[in-house]
Amino acid sequence: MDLTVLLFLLLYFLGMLAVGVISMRRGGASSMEGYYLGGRNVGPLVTAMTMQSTSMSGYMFLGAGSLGYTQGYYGFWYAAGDIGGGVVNLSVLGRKMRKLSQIMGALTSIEYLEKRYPSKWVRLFAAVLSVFLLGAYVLAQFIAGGKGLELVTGLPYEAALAIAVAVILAYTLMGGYGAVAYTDLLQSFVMIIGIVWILIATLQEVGGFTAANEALGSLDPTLLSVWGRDLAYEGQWGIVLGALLIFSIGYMGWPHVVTRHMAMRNPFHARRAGVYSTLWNLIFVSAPYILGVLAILVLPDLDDPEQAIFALAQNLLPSAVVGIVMAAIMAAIMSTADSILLQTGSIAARDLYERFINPNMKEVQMVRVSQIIVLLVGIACGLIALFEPPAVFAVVVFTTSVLGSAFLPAYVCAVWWEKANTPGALSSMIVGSGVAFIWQYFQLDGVTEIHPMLAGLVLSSLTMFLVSLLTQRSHPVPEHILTAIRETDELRPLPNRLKAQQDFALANEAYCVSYSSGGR
Amino acid sequence: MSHQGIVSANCEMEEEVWLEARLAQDDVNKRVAMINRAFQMTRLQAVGFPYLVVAFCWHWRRFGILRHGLLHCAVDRCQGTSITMEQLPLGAPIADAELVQPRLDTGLLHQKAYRHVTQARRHHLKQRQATSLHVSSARLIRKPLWKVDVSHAKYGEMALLLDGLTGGYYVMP
Repeated sequence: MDLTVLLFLLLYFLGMLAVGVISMRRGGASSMEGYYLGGRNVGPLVTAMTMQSTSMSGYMFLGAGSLGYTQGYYGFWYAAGDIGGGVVNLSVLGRKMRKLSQIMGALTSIEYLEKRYPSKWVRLFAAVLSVFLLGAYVLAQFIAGGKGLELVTGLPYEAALAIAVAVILAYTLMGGYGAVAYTDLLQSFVMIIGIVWILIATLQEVGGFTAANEALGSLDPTLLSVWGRDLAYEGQWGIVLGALLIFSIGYMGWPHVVTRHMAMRNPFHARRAGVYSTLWNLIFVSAPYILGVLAILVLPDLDDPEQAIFALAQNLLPSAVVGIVMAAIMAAIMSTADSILLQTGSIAARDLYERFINPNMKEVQMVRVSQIIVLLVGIACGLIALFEPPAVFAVVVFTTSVLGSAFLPAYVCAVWWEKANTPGALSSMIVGSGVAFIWQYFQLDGVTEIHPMLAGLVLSSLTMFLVSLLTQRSHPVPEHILTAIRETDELRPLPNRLKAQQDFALANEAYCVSYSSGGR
Repeated sequence: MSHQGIVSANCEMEEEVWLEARLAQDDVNKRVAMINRAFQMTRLQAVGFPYLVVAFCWHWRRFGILRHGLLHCAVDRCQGTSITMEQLPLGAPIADAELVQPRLDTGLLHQKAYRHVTQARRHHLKQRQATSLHVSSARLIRKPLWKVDVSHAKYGEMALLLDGLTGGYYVMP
């Protein structure tokens, strides 16, 4: 056990905690919007960074490294999609979703779905599915945290996992939503510094890219191919397209990621946030995959490929730097687990318990329900991670595929297609989640050579279009929702300054005034 | 808050009152010019936007001293969007204002206000400072807005909505 590493780890955690407490106290929760959405007052840089660090963290350090280590440059299909993921997400949903959510007075992503597709079943299904899948995502973070601590401290996996889960749960139960965005910003910078540091050290170790590729080629030429080790995926375009899509558009189906659009100060910040996220992705996203590939040369006999990046850091960097890098990795994992646990707790408390069981829930009950859910999810995930830990990569691909297939058509059509109605959205969510789940459970990708994300997404989108069109007469989209959607259109060119300096808190009132003046 | 609290607050509700228009009618033209010098104001219409403002109070004891908290929560009577307000500066009604018709039931609005305030105070609860909330008053108010038609030499005709309290603006579709 290296005391220098542990000291840096401890110092970093304390620093994160301090940032969290300060931003929570300064930002306060003076309004419901403040509590859930940071008062819709988050700038483009924080929007981009919080989206990226929440989306990636644990997966990037374990899953991506493992994919590179086992499949060589095949992982770049995932990386290529991921690099463009932020800008795609912000361009397609950012501005319109920010406006529509404010006009409709929605504070959570699930509430937004119910307001756009008015039906309690939409909320019920979306909330239950989100709680289940976000719980699975938390599981991946726990495993990542346990494995990271195991390597740093030398403790057995079980003990390291117990410590990681206890720290994450304590951090979550005492933390607040307001703090998350700002700690994410700080962590995103530390993550990028950490990964670049390991990359430089590894490249020095292997003698640069060219030498590394030559050495890999002599080991196994197929590692240099984009079709995977032994060309396992050669010509399987259904798999490759799914790998490309999963992180390029899959994020648009994540409830805890799309909430970031709703928190933007200004809808027009979406463009700038897209640029920031792409710049960050260009540096950050490809590095873990490259590191995984290079680890084949540096550490050819790794028992657990998911520890490739941790092991590289430990073997190649001085203790103090390992401490900083490991702290960054652990804090990133913890911050993701923290924000998803909080999101899960709030969905369970607000979108399920308060909406369906006890509408007159008191303050104490709200907090208790939320805390109990966080604890239950935490304990359940901790037990699974202890007795039967799945691979982080598999869990992340599973949750992203199911969430993306279930919610992506519903979120995208909500702002881009006026005919998208409640039956269309509900059936699309059911079909999308069902297909992606069944596809992975029965491993149909091996039989069909089609990635579960691709299968789920195509079928859920088709369902959305077909059912919406077939039920237009019986379930027309209410007039007030149509008016709200039209309000999100950019009707004409306007001076940039005039657009950017608008007070978007007036969007809701403007909508009602125009709705009222129109006599509708 | 008990349901009795809601009922009694409903009973106490008075006629609609207006918030003070800090951006007076005479200053609207100047404000429009500040937004964009090229704007020519062609029409001005006052709008009264309906809100329900509920004042919540609570008490707690710290270092042996009984302290009181007060928070106003304004809930939009058309969409149910809620905001907190520290002050409630009342003013005279604006003549010939277009009154937006409320669409939501006040019982529902009370619930939304209560939920909003409980959420806003939720982090205090984590520090075990939670106490029960009481409704101290509830009022139907009209927030002053200015709907302004403007023309721009390059960009043509458009309508702006100006906040009568803060002077903020929004380009109407």
